[in-house]
Amino acid sequence: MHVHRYEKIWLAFGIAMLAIFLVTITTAAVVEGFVPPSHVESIDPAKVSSTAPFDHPGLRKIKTGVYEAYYVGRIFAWEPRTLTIPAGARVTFFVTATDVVHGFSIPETGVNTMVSPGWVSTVSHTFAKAGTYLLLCNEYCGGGHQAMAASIVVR
Amino acid sequence: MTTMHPPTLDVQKRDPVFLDRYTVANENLLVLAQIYTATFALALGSLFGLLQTFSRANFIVMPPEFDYYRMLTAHGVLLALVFTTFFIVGLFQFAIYRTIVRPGRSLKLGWFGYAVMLLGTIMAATSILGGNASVLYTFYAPLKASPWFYFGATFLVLGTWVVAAEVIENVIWFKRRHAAQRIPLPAFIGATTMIMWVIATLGVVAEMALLIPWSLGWTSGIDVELTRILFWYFGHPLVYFWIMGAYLVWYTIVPTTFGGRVFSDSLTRL
Repeated sequence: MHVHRYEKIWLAFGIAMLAIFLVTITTAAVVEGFVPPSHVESIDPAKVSSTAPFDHPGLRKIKTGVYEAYYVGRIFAWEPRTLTIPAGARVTFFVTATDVVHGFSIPETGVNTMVSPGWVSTVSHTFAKAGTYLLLCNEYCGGGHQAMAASIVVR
Repeated sequence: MTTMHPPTLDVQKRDPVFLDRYTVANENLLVLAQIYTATFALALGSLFGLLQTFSRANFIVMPPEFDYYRMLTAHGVLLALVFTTFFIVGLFQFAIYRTIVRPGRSLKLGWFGYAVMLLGTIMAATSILGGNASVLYTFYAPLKASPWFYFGATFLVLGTWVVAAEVIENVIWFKRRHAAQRIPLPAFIGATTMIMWVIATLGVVAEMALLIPWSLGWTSGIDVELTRILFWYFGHPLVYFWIMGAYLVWYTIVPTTFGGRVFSDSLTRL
């Protein structure tokens, strides 16, 4: 097959670009740990309210400045509805759903993960700035989806 | 300038032949049916989007039958799925009919495919507008739609498989008659794209095999992650079909219209 010189140049350019992007993404993921929030732990969605620690959703102190927050999403609310966190705390959220797919999102923080029934999603954030944060559902979950919101108070 | 001339296999020697005035009314009718259906879906879906915008902006008050999520689902399904499917299938059928000249071609398979696609679309659209399938165009389980919606989506896809079979049959017919010739470039693009389409839509059909028994109540659970992966196995390649259509136009119709030439036939095929 005859390939013109100009086409060879463009092909080489395209292939080089692909290679550079692949190397960049792989380096970021492997070396710097840039991976999307994932859900690897499973849970029986019908028994969430009787499975610890989701039977008592809320904040757990691990040590000074380090917390874990357990959330349950169901149509159309997040539990707990409000959560108070000390400013500067590093919080790891563990979130699951009982019914349909929800989206756990705290605007302006980078916390944004899909929540599927049967799985526990995990995402961490350090709340440096005091204030009231909005926690909402950003994955369409039915007729009352727009009302599914809660608040997080950092002080 | 090309002048009117009767159908002849002559035109196959020139490549591409889109500018030929040679037309076969029946074939054009089928292509036009596909493109008009696509355009109607685009118009209707856009109207729903516009009405919702006006309603959100408080310019108008929509009756309760036109609730936001129902209209959003209709908008998404009509534009992303229905419009794309009919337009792309029609465009590639056009490429095949225009470049594989075949007097007395049977269009039975083509019309049957179109009818199945249309039936599926009407089933899905009725169930959405009836308020029984407000699941958005991604229809993530375990949000559950009426079985009619899932059957409709399945028929829409199966209809395109019939058209794909028709496209492949035409290419095989050409190759049998003209073993020494290359398949005309537009027909080649059409056939490879339809093969890609069948591979991509396997995901939807596999997902429907899980969703239909579940929505009928025959099975109780549904694998949330699996159905979502199967949807995006189709949903991501969906955008390729617009680019494949654009390639067809850029590489064959545009050069013919403006008197240019295809820079490299081999590389285009690659």
